[in-house]
Amino acid sequence: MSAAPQVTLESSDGEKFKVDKEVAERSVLIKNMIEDVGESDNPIPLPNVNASVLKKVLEYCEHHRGDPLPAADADPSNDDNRKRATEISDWDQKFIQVDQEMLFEIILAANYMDIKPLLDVGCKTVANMIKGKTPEEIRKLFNIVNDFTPEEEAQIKKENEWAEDR
Amino acid sequence: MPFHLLPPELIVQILCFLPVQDIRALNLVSRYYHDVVLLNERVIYEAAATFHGFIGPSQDRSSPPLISEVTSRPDSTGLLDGVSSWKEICRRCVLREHAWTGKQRKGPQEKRQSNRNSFLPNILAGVYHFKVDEVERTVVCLMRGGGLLVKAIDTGRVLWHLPSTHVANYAQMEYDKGFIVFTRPQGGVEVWRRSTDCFHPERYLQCSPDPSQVRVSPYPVPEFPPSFPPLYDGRPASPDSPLFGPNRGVYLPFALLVSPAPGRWYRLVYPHLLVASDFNFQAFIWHIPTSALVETIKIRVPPTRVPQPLPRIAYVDFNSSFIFVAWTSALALYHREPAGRKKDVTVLLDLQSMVADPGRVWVRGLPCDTFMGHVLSNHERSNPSSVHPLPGPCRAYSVTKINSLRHFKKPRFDWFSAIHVSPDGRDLVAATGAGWLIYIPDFQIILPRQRKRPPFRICFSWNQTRYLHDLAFDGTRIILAIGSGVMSITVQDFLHPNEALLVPKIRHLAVLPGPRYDGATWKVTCIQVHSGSAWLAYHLEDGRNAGGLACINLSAAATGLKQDSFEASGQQWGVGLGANCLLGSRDLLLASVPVSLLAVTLLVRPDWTSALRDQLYPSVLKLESLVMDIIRA
Repeated sequence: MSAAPQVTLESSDGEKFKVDKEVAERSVLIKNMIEDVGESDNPIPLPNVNASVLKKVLEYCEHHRGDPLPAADADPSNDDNRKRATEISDWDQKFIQVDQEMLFEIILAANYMDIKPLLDVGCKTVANMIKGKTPEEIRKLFNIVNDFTPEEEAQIKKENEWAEDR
Repeated sequence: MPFHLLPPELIVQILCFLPVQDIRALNLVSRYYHDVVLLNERVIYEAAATFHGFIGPSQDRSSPPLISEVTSRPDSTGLLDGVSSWKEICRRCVLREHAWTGKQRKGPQEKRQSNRNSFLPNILAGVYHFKVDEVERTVVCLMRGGGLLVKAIDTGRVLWHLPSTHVANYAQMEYDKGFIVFTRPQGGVEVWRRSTDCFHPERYLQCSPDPSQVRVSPYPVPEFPPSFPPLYDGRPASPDSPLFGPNRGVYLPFALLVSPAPGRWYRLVYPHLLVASDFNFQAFIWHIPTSALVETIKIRVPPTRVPQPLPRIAYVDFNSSFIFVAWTSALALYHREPAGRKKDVTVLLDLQSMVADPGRVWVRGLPCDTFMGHVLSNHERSNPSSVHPLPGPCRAYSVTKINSLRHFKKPRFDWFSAIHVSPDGRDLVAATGAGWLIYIPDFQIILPRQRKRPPFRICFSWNQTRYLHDLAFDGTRIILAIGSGVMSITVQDFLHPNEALLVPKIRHLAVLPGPRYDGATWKVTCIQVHSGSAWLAYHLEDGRNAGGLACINLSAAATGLKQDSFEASGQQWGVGLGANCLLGSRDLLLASVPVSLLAVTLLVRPDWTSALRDQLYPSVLKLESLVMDIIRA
């Protein structure tokens, strides 16, 4: 019995991770790299991802290794799809319960490594954090300073008045 | 790492999962986010429009719809006319949604606009039944006393008509996708087709009109098949093309369909026409494009708790797999596929069992949530002469959930006044005479008993003084005509995906005129709902020819529409005057001009009587303007 083919990934801080090729290929970036370079024992460098984030991302890929690749053309206007749009599965929800810093790092890494489902989970999590909050609450949440002049603020408020009530 | 260090394209991706309310909030957080939203407005609001369901599915499923495709969707209120940005689409749709649910914001400007909620208050008296064509923006009206009119919504002009000698008093009429179907007294149903479609190269269908149809057609019926380029210009109607070209509202004969047994109820959901007969308990399904009878289904009277003495059909509807027949007091379901016909009838609702025990769990053994609805009290019915849209922001009449029906006065008898299936064929709504509204979501899942969303019912008449006249349902909204006015219920309010059943809100849209000095009350005979408007035809309950056709325009706040020119011509003909006459020589139909006005007309210009007799088709138009001249004079 032959072992599943493996690849080595190297994080920005030099740590090496040996994972199954199938797991690493959840990342479209790595999949393309393997296709371009061909199989080799050289580690694949990921200069934008540090070890702790890469570990987390690989945990996600490991859990979802068998998932069918996401259909590119899921009809968003379908009622169920729309509802599903903001829903996150239980495992993913637990997985993404990390501090803000890590959450944004994961989003960046998922974007860089081109792992669409993980990127969606990250974006939905941030969206859910924002949902229903007032501008002031959002500022507090993300430590943002209000740099509008009162006039500017009033102007924007007026322009977007139609969207105020839910 | 702080949030604002995420690259803008990722912030945009996050925003794509959020509704417009949160986009607005982020807009106000700081300059940076304001700029991100501003620079990516197109992407963000396109996603928001999809998120909110403002844009339906694209025709070409592989790509999202273009703005032009969305704005050219038929809408008689012109909600998206001339709109060129996704943000504006979102803005208008959000405002219309607010109008539907009674959430308009208070403000001096809005207050003024709310008075515009209704255009064409009473465009036409004597309308018995009508349908709105959202493509050409016309109303097809079946007149009390016979005759068929097609009227332009924006100008109020009569564009086309069939005389009362051809379309009988109390004929039945159905309309869908440019086809008018109506019954004729000697049996059978006539099919007429929108002329712009008849000669459209892509929409051409072989037709076989009856000679009697060709004879009566006000417009010459060209040879079939037509030659291309067609005689009538076949340009599709759209607001920016000369939509309203010379053939707007003109219909041409298409076919005559004679079912093997006389029908009583009809329903057209293109391409099929359902004809239900309670003379020999059969239902026939016709395929309109080929004019062929494609299905004949036996509709057995369902077994009920109390046998129905005289089983009569009260209403019918159908979807791709079932036929729904509301017998007087039982709602039954019949399979269309032969495979499903082994069990020939399934009773969904038995009203008599509910009459016997109102508190019983009764939608096929499934628990049903019960609510008590409020109705307007008499003093709120203020405007004496016309349908009076409630000024926005309208009160949302909340209803109370009840667990005990001890204080409920039992009706002695209950009957169905209307049933409707949603356009996707999944949900079912029924209204009963004794004042119950029953909503059954996903009724097909009821059958294998694995449903998630509970059915609900609302009682609108605990004291048995009001009853539900009619019902319209477009899948999102239920429009209900009750003795005192018109209400809308947005079904999403009931069925929030993540929460248990919420207490629903009911929005009163309009009040009917109050009772007349002689005590006569008004009755709604027909009601329609479209994405941006609700329509109703109403008349005096004692059968006198007084009443009107009213439209409650919910896009008004969004588009800032001026009152349509309809208002000018929409003098409340007939209302208050009581006696109208349907005037005319054999082929001329003049829609219910008050007798007194006509008398004035004829007094002033006696020579017009002969003119009236001689002029056939265009004269309806002329006469209208003529009467208007008299009024002004």
